Amino acid sequence: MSKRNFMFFIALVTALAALLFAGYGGHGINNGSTVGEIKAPKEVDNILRKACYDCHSNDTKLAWFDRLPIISIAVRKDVEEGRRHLNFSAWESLSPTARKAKLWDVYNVIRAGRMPPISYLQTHSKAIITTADRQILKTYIDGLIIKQLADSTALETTLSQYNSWIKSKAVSRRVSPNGIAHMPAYKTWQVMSATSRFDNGTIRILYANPIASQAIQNKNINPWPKGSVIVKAMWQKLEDKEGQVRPGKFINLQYMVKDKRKYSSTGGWGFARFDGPQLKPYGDVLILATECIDCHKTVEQNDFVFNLSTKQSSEKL
Amino acid sequence: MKYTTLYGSILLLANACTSNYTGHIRDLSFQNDSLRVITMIVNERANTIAVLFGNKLALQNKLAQKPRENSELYKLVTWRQQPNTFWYGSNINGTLLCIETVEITSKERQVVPNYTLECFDSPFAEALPIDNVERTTFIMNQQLAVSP
Repeated sequence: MSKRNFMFFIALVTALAALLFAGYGGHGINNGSTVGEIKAPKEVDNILRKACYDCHSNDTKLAWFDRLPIISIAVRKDVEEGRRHLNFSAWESLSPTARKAKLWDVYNVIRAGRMPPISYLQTHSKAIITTADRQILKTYIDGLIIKQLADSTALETTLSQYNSWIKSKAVSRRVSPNGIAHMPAYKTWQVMSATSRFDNGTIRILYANPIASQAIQNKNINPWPKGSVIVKAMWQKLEDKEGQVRPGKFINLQYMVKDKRKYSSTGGWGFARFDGPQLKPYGDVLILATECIDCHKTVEQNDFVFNLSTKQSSEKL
Repeated sequence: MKYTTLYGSILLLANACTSNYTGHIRDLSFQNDSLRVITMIVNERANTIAVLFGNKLALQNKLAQKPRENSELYKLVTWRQQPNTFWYGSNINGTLLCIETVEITSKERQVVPNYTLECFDSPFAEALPIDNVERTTFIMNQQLAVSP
C-alpha cells in the first residue's frame, strides 16, 4: 500500500469511527417512570426481566453496542414498539382481564418461538428462554385458570339475551370502520372448527365461506386464496355440574377476509369485529390494523390462522 | 448451473416447509351443506366437542318456539376434544367420533322422532346400548345459541 493510500485508509477509518461514536448514546431510550409494575412470583419475574424487560418495560438496560448512533435508532424504534404492545412497568394500568390475556399471549409467543426475536437473541444471549423457563411460565399461567360453574347471574343474563334476540328483527347492514361488512350468510357456511378456551372461558364456532372451505379440502391454505373469509362466533361458557358446557352470553363475531393486496400491511388479511347481538362495529381503522394482527403474528407460518385442527395434537411445552 | 441448483434447493426447502404445515391439517370431517348450527356442547368429562345442526325448518321452529313438525332434521356431530396446536389455552375438535341423527316424521297425525347413530370411534363404547329416547330428548331439548 502506498503512503498516499495508507493515509486515505486512515482518514476513512477515522471518519467512520467519528460517524459511529459522535452521537454515542444520542438516541438513547427514555426509561420513564414505573407506574404499577407487574407483581409475579420471583422465578417468573426473573424470566420476564432477563428476556422481556429490555423492550417491554420502562427499565430498558442497553448494551454498549445498542448505544451506537445508527444502531440506537433501530433499538429505540424496537423498544417503543415493544412498549406499545406490552409494558410490564405499566401493568396496573391494564384491567385484570387484559392482564390475564396478556400473560397468555406472552406464553404463546414464547412457545411459538416468536419472542424474544432471534435477531435480539443473537446479541443478547442472556435473554434465551430455556425449557425450564417455559415450564415455570406455563405453571404460572395454569394457576390463573378459574373454572367456574354457571351461576344464577350467568344463566339469567343468557336467558335475557336469548329472549330479546328471538324477538328482535335481523340487524340492518353493519360495516366495520375499515370497510368490511357483516355477512349474514355466514350461518349457511361450512363449520371449520369448534373451540373451547380454558384461558378465557369462551367457546367458539368458526365458519369458512365456500372459497375458504374448498381451500381447506384442497390443502391450499398457505397462503389462503383471495376471497377466503373466516367468521368466528364467540360465546361465554356456561358449564353445569355434569361438565357439560354450552354457549352462554353471545360476545361477538370476528372476521378475517383474505386479499393480499388490499390488506398487505396486515398479512394479507382484513380483520373486523362486531360486538353483541346488535353487532356493533368495533374499533377504528388504526386499531383494526394493529390489534388483531399483533396476536395473529404468533401463527404467521399458518398464514395467520389459529383455529385449524391438526392430525396430531402436539401438546408441546 | 450452480444458481439453478441453488434455486432448486431453495424451492424444494420452501415446499417442504409449506407441506409440513398443511399436511398436518385435518380434512373437514363433516360437511354440513344446507344444515345450520343450532348450538355447540362441550363435555369436559367425556373430553368431546359437539355441534348440533338442524335443517331450515328445525331452526325456524326453534326460533319461533313452535312444537316439533314433520321433516325437521337434527344432527349432533361429536368429535374428540384435543389441544389446539397453535394456541396453548384452547381446545379444538379432533377425531370425528359419531353422528346422531333425529328425523321427525308424522304417523297417524302424530310426530315421531327417529333416532339413528353412526359411530366412527364411539364415545359411547362403555355405555352401549344407547338409550334412543334419552338421546332424542337430549338433542331435541337443546336451546338455540344466540347467533345474530
